[in-house]
Amino acid sequence: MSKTRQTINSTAIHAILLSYMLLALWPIFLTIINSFKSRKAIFRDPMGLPGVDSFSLKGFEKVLLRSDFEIYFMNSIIVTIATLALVLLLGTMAAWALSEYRFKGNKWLGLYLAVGIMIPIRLGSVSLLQLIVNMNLANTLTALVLVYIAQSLPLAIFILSEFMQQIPQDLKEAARCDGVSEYTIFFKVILPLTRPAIATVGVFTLVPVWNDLWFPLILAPSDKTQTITLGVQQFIGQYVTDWNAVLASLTLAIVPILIIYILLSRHLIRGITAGAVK
Amino acid sequence: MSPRGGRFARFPHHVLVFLAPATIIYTMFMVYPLLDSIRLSLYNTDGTGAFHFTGLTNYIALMTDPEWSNAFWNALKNNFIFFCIHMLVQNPIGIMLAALLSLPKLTGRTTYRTLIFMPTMLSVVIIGFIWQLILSPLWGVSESLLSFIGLTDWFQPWLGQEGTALLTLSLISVWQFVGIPMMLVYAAMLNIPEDLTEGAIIDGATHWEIFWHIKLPLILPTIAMISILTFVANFNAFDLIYSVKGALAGPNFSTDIMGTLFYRTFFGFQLQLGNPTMGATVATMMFGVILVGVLFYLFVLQRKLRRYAL
Amino acid sequence: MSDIQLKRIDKSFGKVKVLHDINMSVKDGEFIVFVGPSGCGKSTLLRVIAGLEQVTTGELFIDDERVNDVQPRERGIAMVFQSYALYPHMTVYKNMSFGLKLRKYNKQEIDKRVRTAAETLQLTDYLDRRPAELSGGQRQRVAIGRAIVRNPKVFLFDEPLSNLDAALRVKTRIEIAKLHKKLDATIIYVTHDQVEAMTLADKIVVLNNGRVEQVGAPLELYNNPANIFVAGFIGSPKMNFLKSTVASVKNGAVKIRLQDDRLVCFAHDTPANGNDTATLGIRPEHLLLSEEADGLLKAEVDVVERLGDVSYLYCTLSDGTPIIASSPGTSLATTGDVIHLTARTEKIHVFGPDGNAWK
Ligand SMILES: Nc1ncnc2c1ncn2[C@@H]1O[C@H](COP(=O)(O)OP(=O)(O)OP(=O)(O)O)[C@@H](O)[C@H]1O
Ligand SMILES: [Mg+2]
Repeated sequence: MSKTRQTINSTAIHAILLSYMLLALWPIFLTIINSFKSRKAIFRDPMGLPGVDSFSLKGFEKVLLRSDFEIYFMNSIIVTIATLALVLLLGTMAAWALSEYRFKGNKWLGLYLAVGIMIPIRLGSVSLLQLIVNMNLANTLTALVLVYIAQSLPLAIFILSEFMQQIPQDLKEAARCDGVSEYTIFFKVILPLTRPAIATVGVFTLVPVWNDLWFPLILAPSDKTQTITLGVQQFIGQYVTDWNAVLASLTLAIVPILIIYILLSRHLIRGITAGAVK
Repeated sequence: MSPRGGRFARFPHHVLVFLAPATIIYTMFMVYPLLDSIRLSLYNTDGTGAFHFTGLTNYIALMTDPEWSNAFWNALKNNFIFFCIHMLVQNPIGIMLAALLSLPKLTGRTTYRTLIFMPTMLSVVIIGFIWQLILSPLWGVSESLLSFIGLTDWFQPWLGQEGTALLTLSLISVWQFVGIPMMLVYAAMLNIPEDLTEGAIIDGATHWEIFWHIKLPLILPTIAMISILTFVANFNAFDLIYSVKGALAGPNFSTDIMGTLFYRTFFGFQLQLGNPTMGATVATMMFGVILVGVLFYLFVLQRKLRRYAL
Repeated sequence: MSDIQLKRIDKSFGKVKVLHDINMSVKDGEFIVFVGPSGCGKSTLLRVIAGLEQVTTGELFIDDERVNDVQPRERGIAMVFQSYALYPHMTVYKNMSFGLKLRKYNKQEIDKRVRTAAETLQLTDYLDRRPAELSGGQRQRVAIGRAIVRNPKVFLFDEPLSNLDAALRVKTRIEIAKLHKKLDATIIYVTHDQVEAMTLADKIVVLNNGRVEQVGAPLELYNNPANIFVAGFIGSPKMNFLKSTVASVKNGAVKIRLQDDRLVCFAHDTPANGNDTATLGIRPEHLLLSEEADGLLKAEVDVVERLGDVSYLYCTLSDGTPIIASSPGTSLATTGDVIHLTARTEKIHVFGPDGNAWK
């Protein structure tokens, strides 16, 4: 009797998880399948998979023709990669200095850098825009990269510092005994060792940067500097009524992320859960 | 000479080199703008673009002058509703999913976890548009789905109605971000040693009792952390409302929250011109709200809820 | 009445089979100890009895009721974990009363039982503390208290002492023995420490690689090990094993050839064949120093460990086999000495080529 109850329980658990999973995936799935259908089919049979007579790539043609999707895409990639690389480099350097060297004000500097984990950088936008304009960086990707670095550094430094504390003391001590300079120790010993933390820092940096709408909108809204998120937002704003184009642009924005996510999900999730432990 | 030398010795040049780039960029593009915004909120601009110090005038206007205050209190109220819905819906669902995922001997947990987390990875803008399409009466997907479960007449253009738009948008956001509390709680639950739950099983507890008496008390610090993360994210939200309802946060400002109010005030809209100093004032108010939340978390929640060594 | 019977129990994790055909019965009030090397399946067997793991095949009975599909909480068992598994957010009192509360006992009854158990375990002063504020030994007692208050039919202990230091381990061991007398309960106890096993058990179950090697009272295992594994596992220092060959078998008398062509002779009814390999086993405490003429073994002393009452001589035979002999603390043997050892024939164990005991 208990046995049947146990199986019922686990069936119920799977039923709940499965239905929630469907709820999470269904809207995404719906968007993707309909982007491959003709306008008529989109409205006549929204739930159906694209078939021989309903298949159409018209939406994608329009998107690629009428907008600079490739440019947006490249912009996003450039901004994200540049941000990630610099955050990792500068973040590791700072985390290393904070966790390794004892100097006056060490604690305060750590606290100062940690404030940014909780306080959103957006709130300084008024002055930030002025600053960027004064620096002649308005409508440049550089502006975005600089702001995103500032935005991502606090959490990156926090995570990396925790990580640094696990690097065995012996490693550094051995190198110091060999009379190696602090720079060499950092670049040759420490930097390579932080590789496992990259996934964690990566998730927390990549995703918000790639998906951000606010800063592209206020700092770099020009045609040549739009990121994909802003580009899609503007494009859809212009073509609201063109369902094929709208669905196609959404699909174009979703699919790359989904592919990366599926490929890296294991690492990403490990990163999130590891980062969350503290 | 000597005290200088002494300080220098304590601050060797390589430490400076390691710390300077990060600290400079962070200070310049994050701390300075934040502080400068607060300063700007105490100024006013005239037609020529010159700044005049006006003290707290902007704040008084924002809170009492009907031209501003209606919008301000409305946005603040909406933002609290937005936050409450997240706390009441997103976090309980996230915790429940995590509790189910962490049950022993569950098959397929990685798949569930990965797929349920998927929407969280996508841009809020994309999610906003997708749901806008799905809920659009033009397309009729939701209508046919509802009729499928026998609720044909139930459908309404929820996003377009003053009474339901904010709730609908909140739920869309909940739908997207449920993955975050789920993951954090799941990670916390994985940290609870299996012996502890097995001990409880032997003591005679059911899975539900284990969750309620053992797991939940042990993950309270994580729940507090999720709450503050939700709080900060919600009072800083903008993208979803902006992409679904535009800067005007319609219908009739019923979905206006602090983020959209800030944007409108700063950049202007339709007839109203942008007003940087008033924008800075709104931003500073947001800063204040978030700061209160964070301080409450740091000094009350984090102190009260002890983390038990597991 | 709380008999436990295991019939043909198999347990696999996926493709890996960790328990093979376990059969045994535990009588009411017995103190049973599972011993065996790490990874042999002791914990798994205990968890099967607790109901934390389902058996793959076979049947499990408690009080003649088949409990294969009975939930742990309905089996009338209590378990003490190696890690104690105390709830870190509850006080000692709450930890002990948790199980009773779930079973909806009334407040007075709960209080009475918790206080009685606390008294027994000398925990009365600590009832308001949390586990983090207790010493290892106190935590251990709370874990036992949590089990006692429920008056279970069977107590299961999984290496409850392994996190304690040596002195405390001895003390707690004695307390557990007293507790068993007092509660008159059935106890199944897992350990890999054979001293614990020997001192506590009414009956020892020796496990190896998921199989039961031998079941018996401690002295029975010591005196009559069923095979080489049990012989080597029980007793400290370990039994010495000497490779040897069967010289002749005549009228049920077997002669076995040792180094230097010395012979050992004993009666044995299973026909052994000439030239079969056999293993002689002699416990260090049964080796005696002797004159060359009476000696069975000739060895050179490598190291002498003097423990006071007794000295262990670590020696090497001429063929390179290391052996240990124990001698009285007054022994004068030192490193480099050549000594002669002998043993009474009835103390010599002989194992056949398959490892099973002939004698
Ligand atoms: N959940 C599991 N899944 C797969 N294999 C397991 C599992 N639990 C135990 N095993 C395997 O079963 C075997 C027996 O494990 P068990 O924990 O019973 O050993 P043990 O005798 O208690 O050892 P120790 O003295 O180290 O505690 C081991 O080889 C172990 O790797
Ligand atoms: Mg074990």
